[in-house]
Order: sequence, then C-alpha cells, then structure tokens
Amino acid sequence: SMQPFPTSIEQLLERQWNEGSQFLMEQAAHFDIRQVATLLSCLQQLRQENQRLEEHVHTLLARRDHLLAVTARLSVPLNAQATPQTS
Amino acid sequence: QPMVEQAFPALQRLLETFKMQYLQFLAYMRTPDYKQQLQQEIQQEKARQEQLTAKAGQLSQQIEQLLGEGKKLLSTRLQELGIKSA
Repeated sequence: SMQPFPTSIEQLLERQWNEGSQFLMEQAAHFDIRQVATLLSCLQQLRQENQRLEEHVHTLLARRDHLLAVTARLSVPLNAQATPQTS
Repeated sequence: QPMVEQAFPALQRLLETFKMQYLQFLAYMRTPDYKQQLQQEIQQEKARQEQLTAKAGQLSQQIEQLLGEGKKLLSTRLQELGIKSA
C-alpha cells in the first residue's frame, strides 16, 4: 500500500515506527519458540483495551463533575439565591 | 543532487546502526528474559485494567446517585415556587 509522502519529521518517524514494529512482530511470529508473538499480541490488545477504558473513565469523570456542580447549584434554596450567602 | 550525495556516507552509517540495533534486539527477543519481561508487562496491564474497570463502575454508581439527588432537589426547588412536580 502506498502511503502519502511524509511532509514532517514526525510523519517520517511515525511511519518508520509503524514499519519497525510491524517487522518485529512478523519476525517474532517466524521464530516463535517461546510464544513471544502470542504474548506480544496479547499485550498489544490489553493496551488498546486499556486506552479505551481510560477514555471511558475520563468521560464519566467529566459527567460526574458536571452533575456535582448541578446538584450543588440545585441544593441552594431559592430565597438564599436572591441574597447569596458564603457557605 | 550534490547535497543528497554528501549525505550518503552518513546515511550508510545510520542504517548500519539501525541494522545492528534490530539484529541485537531480534536476538534478545529469543531469550527467556524477553519472554519474562513481556509476561510482567501483561500482568501490569491486567492490573491496570482491573483498576480502570473498578473506577468506571464506581463513577457510574456515583453518577446514578447524583441523578437521583438532582431530581429530588429539583422538585424541592419547584415546590418553593409553588409548582408541584411528580
């Protein structure tokens, strides 16, 4: 597959990073004496899952904090809102 | 073109370095040490997954609580306005 010509150092290095890891994975599959390839793909999968989980936790955190702010506002009686008190 | 040709010996050296590094690493990948290291990393990621799953569950629970609390508070505030809510 032809990739676009890299126009930044980062793009070039990222491509080499991908090709390098691809190469190592393939080599591991070839000489798989100690199930290294299996372990590698297991590790890769775990890392992907964890990244997704982390994003999920971030979303939940944002929602939780938003709800905390909303309930804090709702817990102030209306007559107290007219004359704000320091709590 | 002369600029590109000037870079040639340096590029050769760089590629030789990369080649050596890859060959060394491929050799290392065949050792029990590497396998052990991978297993260790897998254990770490599994522990992290448990942590994150627990955290997500805890947050979901807290969100449910806050939603309930918010509803109650809202109806209290509405009552103050003389509006009856379900």
